[in-house]
Amino acid sequence: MRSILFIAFKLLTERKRQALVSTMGVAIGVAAFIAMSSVMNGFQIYFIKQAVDINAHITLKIEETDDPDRILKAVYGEDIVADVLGSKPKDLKDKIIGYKHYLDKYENDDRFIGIAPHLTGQAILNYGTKEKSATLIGIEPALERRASVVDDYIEFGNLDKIVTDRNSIIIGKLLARDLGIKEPGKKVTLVSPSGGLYTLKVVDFFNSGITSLDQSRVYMNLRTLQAILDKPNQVNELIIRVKDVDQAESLAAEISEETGYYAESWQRAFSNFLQIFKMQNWITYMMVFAILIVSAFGIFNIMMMTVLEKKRDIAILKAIGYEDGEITRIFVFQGLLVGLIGALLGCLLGYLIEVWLASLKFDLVGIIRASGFVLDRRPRYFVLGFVFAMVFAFFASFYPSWRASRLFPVDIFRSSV
Amino acid sequence: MSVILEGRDIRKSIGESEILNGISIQISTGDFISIVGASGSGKSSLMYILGLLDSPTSGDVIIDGKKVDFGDAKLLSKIRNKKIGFVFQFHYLITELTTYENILIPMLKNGVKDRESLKQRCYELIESLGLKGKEGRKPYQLSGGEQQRVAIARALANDPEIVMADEPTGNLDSKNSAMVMDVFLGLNEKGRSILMITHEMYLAQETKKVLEIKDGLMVS
Repeated sequence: MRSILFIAFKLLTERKRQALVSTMGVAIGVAAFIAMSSVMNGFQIYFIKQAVDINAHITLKIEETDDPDRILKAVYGEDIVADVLGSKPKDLKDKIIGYKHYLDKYENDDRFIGIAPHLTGQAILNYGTKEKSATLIGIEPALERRASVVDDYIEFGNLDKIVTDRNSIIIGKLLARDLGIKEPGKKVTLVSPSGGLYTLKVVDFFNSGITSLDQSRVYMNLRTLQAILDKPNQVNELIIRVKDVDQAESLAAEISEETGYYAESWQRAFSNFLQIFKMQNWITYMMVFAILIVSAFGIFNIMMMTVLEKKRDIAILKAIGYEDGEITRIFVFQGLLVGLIGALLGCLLGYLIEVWLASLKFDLVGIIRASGFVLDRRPRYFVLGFVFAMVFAFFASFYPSWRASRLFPVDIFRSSV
Repeated sequence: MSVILEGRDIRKSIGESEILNGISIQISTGDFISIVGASGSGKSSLMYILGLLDSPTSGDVIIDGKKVDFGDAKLLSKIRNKKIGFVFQFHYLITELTTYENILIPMLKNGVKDRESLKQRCYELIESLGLKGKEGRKPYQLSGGEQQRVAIARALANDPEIVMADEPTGNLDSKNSAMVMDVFLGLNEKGRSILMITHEMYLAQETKKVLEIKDGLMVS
């Protein structure tokens, strides 16, 4: 082994320029992989974490069905084909019956961390001359804390004020901005769907970083919203926090079966985003793999060139007793050495790019809001980049190395005359 | 004198043409045999077969009394590394390696691990072949004669029982040819067996035994 390493190292280091070019190719590929993975996954993980944690892992709610054929189907069976004209959406019984029973039941199930009731509705908020539509969410803070992480995003930590002062509300940071409210303590007018006017005090802001939520959400006491919407003791959603988020889908199916209500897992709720993210990942990784393949071709080229140029050396090595497998290993080792140095340099370069990206400060307003890149700086991308580079380097160098081992020394000696 | 290497009724065909037509040869300890013949007579082919670089179409090669199995590539490599040293018309030195390193590689393959004994053996060969001071030079920094002497040193690195040289002076001027021939004579005097292929009769006449090949047959 020592002789193989010695010869491989010598052959490689004496061809510095070529070795450097292919090493840099690998380094750039690995660095691109690390940087792109870090940016893409950073954004995705941040979004999913925020959105999932704030909303719910599982939401139990009334399924929205608006099937104009339902009466015909009830009479004539499911197979009927009909086109019903003049149908209007019906006012469904938008409440979860016996929700307290479910609260007790799932609260005591050790697969769940917490469960909380919600009453949701729409309204208009007025402040001065400005008015904005808002999504109202009636909560019980004590239960809400166990079922979501809403507390983490309340700017001044005044979630409990909606309990002590039932006419107080917490509004989204962007909603506040759109209404022209800069600090808590301001009074807004809420116009309910039935036309009722209510004066409520803004006691805090909700700032999740998810633009769509911060633009529309209003948290208030469950009892207050029940009164405003004229739905005493009613809730239309139960949010559930599970211990293992990956189990949410199967648990949702189980809950749905048990309760008869529609249980939506976070995966289903965010399936559009997850699909987009999946596609984004495909595009990103295809680009990065293209870079890595180009660098692998760099290694392949250099190895092929080396094998062609070093035919005489290969012949003499065989003559002095080196076996086919050892000749293969000499050249594969060169490829792996290029891969190893390239991968290590790539990791260093990737780290430096991450540090640089993290230092950039700018206002990012889109699906999420941030003051710069949200990076996922886990070591797994370094490990994956390293492994990919080594695998590519191995495959890129194997064929030329195998070709080298198949050379017949006598042919070389005869053709050298 | 014991027989080190023997070729029995060696035949070699490539396609329709017969290169060797049943040659038998014995090389014993202390022999210095030269094989002469016209170009294309089959002398190099015979050396490649005896040196286990090529396999015969039929016939046997016997080394240390054992018939060589040409199907066992591992064994052939091992014998070539430990028992045979090769010198060719072209030096075939690895251009990326220095004189010292070129001499070192057969020893590394032989599994010599002790750094001190490696160094000692290398310098012993460097000195005996008049290469002192050239150990750190790359092949292109050496003259043709020096390059060929490095190749001889490499052939001797593992102290082989036999050195096989294929036209070792074919690429050298008369002065360097004489110098290389002196090296071979000196080695033979110390008991090393040498098989040399040459087409130059004046060099062959300096060896102990001259064999001539004509049309794939040993004629003398």
